[in-house]
Amino acid sequence: MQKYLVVLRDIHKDFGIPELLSVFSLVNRSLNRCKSLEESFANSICSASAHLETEKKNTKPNIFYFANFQSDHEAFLVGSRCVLVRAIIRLWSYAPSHELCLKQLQSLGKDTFKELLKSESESFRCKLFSYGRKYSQSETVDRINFYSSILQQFPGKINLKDFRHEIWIVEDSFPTTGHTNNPNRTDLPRQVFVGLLVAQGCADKVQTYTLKKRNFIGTTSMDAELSFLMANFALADKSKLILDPFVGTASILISCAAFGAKTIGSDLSFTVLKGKSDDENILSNFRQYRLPEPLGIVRCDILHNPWRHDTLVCSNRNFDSCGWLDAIVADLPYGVRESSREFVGEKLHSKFVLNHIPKTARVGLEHLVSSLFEFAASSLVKEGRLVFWLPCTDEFSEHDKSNICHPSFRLIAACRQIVTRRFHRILFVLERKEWNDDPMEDRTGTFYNQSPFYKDFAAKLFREEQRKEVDLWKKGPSRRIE
Amino acid sequence: MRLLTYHFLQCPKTKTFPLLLEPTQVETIETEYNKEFILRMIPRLDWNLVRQVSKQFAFGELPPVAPHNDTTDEETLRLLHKLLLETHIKEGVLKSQDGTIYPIKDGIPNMLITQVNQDE
Repeated sequence: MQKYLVVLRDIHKDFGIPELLSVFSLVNRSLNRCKSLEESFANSICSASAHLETEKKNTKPNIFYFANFQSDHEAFLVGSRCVLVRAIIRLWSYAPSHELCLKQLQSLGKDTFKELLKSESESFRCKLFSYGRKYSQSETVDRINFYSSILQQFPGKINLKDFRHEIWIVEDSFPTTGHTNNPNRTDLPRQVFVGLLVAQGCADKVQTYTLKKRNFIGTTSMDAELSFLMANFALADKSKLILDPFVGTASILISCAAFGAKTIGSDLSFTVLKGKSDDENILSNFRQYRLPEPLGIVRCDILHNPWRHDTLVCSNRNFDSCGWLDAIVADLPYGVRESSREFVGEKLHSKFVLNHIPKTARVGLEHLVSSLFEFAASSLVKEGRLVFWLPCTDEFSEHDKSNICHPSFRLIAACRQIVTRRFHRILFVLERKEWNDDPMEDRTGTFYNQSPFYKDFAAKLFREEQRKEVDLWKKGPSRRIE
Repeated sequence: MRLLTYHFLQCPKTKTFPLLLEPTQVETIETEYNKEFILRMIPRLDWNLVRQVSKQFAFGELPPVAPHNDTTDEETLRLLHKLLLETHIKEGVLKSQDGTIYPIKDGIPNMLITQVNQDE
């Protein structure tokens, strides 16, 4: 067990550590290791600037965390799959200043640097990463040269392009007052870390999936970065089957497929399933990135969904074989850009059935959420994940998270993204409990009895009473299927 | 729709499983073989239905008992891969026990419950 420094990227800061934990679970499970390792890893994570924040009230985002990994290889497997990890560094030393850091490095035994001391072929380079401060080329060189007494003992050549090892000197220089770009800054770094780079995150890979270059997108296509985050929360890998019941332009499934998962998409809207043309539809998006096509694209209504219901099938069977899905990912239409809809039954003459495009009507978001849970509970395997977004306003509080609960699921994470000052959304990540733990009584109904935070969201967001779902229903008669 | 998806569909109206598949146009779309994925899927399938579908699509007779995780029967696994992941139903219908028809058009099954008025 060794101590590592995890440097996060500066975006979506609510998601960084939950993503790291999810990816650790993914790696741990794919190696068939003991589950308790996940807990001990979670307990080993602590903020590297916690001691600084108690001194002064500090609201600045923290991107530095300490974590224990068993080996460089484990740290690499985890770090290289995270979207929000910038780098993972095996720590050699850390101190409040460069001088103290150097002193510590000089006192370390030769064993610490064993890879670099091995032979002359161990080429390396040194990188200065300063957070909250820009240095000129000469300033950077000065700071690296400060450590020359350490670097000179390594027999390998310095090679900036073709190197085997990369040494990172990390400076936390976020100013306590004033602007980061102030040219007359005289403040010293708050803390310094030195170590060997073992992993870099997958932000580069994500960049190739940017929506800007995608053939077929819609008004609510999910940003590539967030899609990959969702795929990590869904524990996507090549042995998993993942379904998106609100597939739209398949932006979330693309990221799952990019990690090798097999995918199924369904949607109520026929226009997105059909696409614009042969080169602009869901399949063309998969082809664009040379990903295997989804195993199914199905038109259905989540309220009356056609998916195999294992709560009925499994009553007499072995609980280990219950469920058929590994994860459900979803971005629900919550009535701002896309309306929440359900299918309305119509009486039709039998000869029209094959070519008929059926009618839909508006439905409250809480019905969609409760159907989603019902579907998830009857289809996910043990430890399968349900990952979905819900909208909220800036009034959302920690207490509102308790709106999302279900007897068959445990909450893994609830991360908030601030879209605009008033419009926020929460990514909920839940995990299916053991099937034999399921309470036998009615599982549904938990959502109808309350007024959850996401109810009538559009009306709350725009402060327009007329956008309440009840008023929208009045406009058209709806005949719900019983 | 690949045949694997068919194994997870039930009638949304009567909630009965399985549906009856009547394909009119079938394609084979090659995809990479992944043994681990097939092994993970086997316990999730209704093996009797898989055997029946295998016969329906002329893939031949499958063993009466589903292969286990430690199977050495690579041939069956390859066959399941071809059957479940490479066989694509382009056109056809899915039929429920009560006679409801769900059409498959351009590879997309339409699983909405359209109430048919028999009297008119």
